[in-house]
Amino acid sequence: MPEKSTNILVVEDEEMMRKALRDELTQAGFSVSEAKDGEEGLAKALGEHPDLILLDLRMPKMDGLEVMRRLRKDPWGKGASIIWLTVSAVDDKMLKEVQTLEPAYYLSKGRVTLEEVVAKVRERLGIK
Amino acid sequence: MAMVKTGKGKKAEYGAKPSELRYRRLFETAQDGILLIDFDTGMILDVNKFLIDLLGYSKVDFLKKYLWDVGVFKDIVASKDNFSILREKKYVRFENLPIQTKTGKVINVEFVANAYQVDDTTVIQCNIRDITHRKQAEKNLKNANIAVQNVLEDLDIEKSKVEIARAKEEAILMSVGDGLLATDEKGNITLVNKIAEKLFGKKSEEIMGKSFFEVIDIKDEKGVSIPLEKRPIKMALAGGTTTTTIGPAYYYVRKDKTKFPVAIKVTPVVADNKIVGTIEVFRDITQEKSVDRLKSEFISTASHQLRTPLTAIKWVVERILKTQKLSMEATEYLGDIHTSTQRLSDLIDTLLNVSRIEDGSIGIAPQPLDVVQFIKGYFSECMPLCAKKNISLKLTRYPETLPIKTDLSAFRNIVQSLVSNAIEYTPEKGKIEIEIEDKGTTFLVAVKDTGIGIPKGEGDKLFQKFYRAENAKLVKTDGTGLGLYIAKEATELLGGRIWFESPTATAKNKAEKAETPGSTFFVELPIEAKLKSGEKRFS
Repeated sequence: MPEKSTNILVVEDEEMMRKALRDELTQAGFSVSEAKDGEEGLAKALGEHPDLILLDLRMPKMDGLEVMRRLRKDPWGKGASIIWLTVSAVDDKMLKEVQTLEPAYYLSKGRVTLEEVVAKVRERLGIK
Repeated sequence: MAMVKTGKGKKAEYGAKPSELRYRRLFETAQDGILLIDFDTGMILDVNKFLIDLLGYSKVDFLKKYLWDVGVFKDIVASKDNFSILREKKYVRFENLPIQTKTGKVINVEFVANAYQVDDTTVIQCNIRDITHRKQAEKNLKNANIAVQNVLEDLDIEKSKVEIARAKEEAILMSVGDGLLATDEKGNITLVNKIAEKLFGKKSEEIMGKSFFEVIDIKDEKGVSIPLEKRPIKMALAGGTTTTTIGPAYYYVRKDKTKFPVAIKVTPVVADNKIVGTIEVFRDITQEKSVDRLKSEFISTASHQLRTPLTAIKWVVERILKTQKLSMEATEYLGDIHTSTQRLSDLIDTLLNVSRIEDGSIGIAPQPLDVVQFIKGYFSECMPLCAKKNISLKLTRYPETLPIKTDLSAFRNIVQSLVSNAIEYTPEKGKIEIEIEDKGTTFLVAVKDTGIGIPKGEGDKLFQKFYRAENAKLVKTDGTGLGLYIAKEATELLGGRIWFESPTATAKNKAEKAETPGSTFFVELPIEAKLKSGEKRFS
């Protein structure tokens, strides 16, 4: 079990998914904060310095790529752990950009269960 | 023909004066028929050998007979009349007189008769010359003339036919709805239709007879001129095969230096095994390209929007199952919802894949992968279905590890298609065995089932888009017929091949006590797949 102090930021515009992720992660012992679009996500990330960010790709106001670009320019954000959440397959252009921005993982939401998301989060954070 | 004073035939025969003998010899050896007739009575006095041979009668048939009684002259009345004229004018001549031989054959003769006085008697000497051969020669000549005339006329007709055909051809070429041009073997333009003029923005006078490569520029998407050897006309002239451009790689440059995307088809014109020119048909595909782009965008957006709520449903169901105390029934219902959403999600992937295969936008990005681990991992996804049908799914022969480099999404699609088909079409309590074999530069995956098998004659149709085998339709009515199509396309993109075996002999089934023949699908892929650029991946 992770300690309560392990913070995860969930940036996801779809409310149903955001809730499901929040509850699953909370149940798994993480403390979770939420953002419903890219702008809010960036602000919360820079303000709260979470241990890991679950970042949706397609979002209103600011998309996931832009959030990541800006984060990587920030002294803290440069090293932040990020897991991408995508619904559709990632295309070449995105993949290239994601690679230059040092991605962590990207997960295709259509394929993974909540349990698998949590497993990836643990793996990324080095929690057994 | 000799005009010899002579007496009656009998005198000639028996009177042996030298002049008479001479006449006699001439008479008998003459190469014309000679007939001596008594002027007063019309009775035949003598006939020579030539005439006898010519007419086929014997001498007896002639002697002491009237000319018209012999049967040589058909028209007795006319003959008698002619005899009267002869008596009156002492001379008669027919240039072309048909007479009849004893066998009834008609021959044409020149007939000349003179009456002359020998002592007290007037004798008529008839000279009869066979002109059948001459006539035939004349006729032949005439026929030859007619034949020549006919040939000349035919030539005229052919000529005008060719002209009409050419005019038609030209009319067809000129009115083709696409741009059309023809070149000679050097690539010089010999014909341009109206549409081509319009598309190039150049009048035919400006480019006719000139080298196509010099007057029309072809560029790629980035505006770089296509090298000469890669231009379709050059390729058709060099290779002798029809060259078709695919994709948006070619742009023609108009007179005003603007460019438009173009689909080109060039066919070499071959005569006597030599390439004598080319015909190029091309069309502006600006519209098609924008429609294609719209289609791709639509499918991409639609699939994204379909998938978002589906994922939400799946995750919510997962949450309920995990956190709520439910009745057995409710748990089962939720399980059904989960299965259905997964199916919908797979269907969206399938449609997306087909759309991407069609527009050729799929690329291959090889990454390291352990085939054995991957397939073992995939088994866990299949377990619920296998458990439900009581099917045993096993890896039977495989190396401990088999590290490869391949495109994950393409490979997953192949494995998924083969294994899910095996589960789908294998009856309850059946067996599915998977083998993995390392073959050096390639590796082989074999998926063997005890399922319904593949009817004879289905062959490669099985890999065609939307195709479903008859027995498969009976087992599962709502299959898409796209699984194996996608698997085949993915296999080919990875540089491999896919095939199947399905025994038709039942002896083996009896031996194994199986009710269905089963089938084995094989896929052989390179250990290291080649990178292929493309905007999209398999879903």
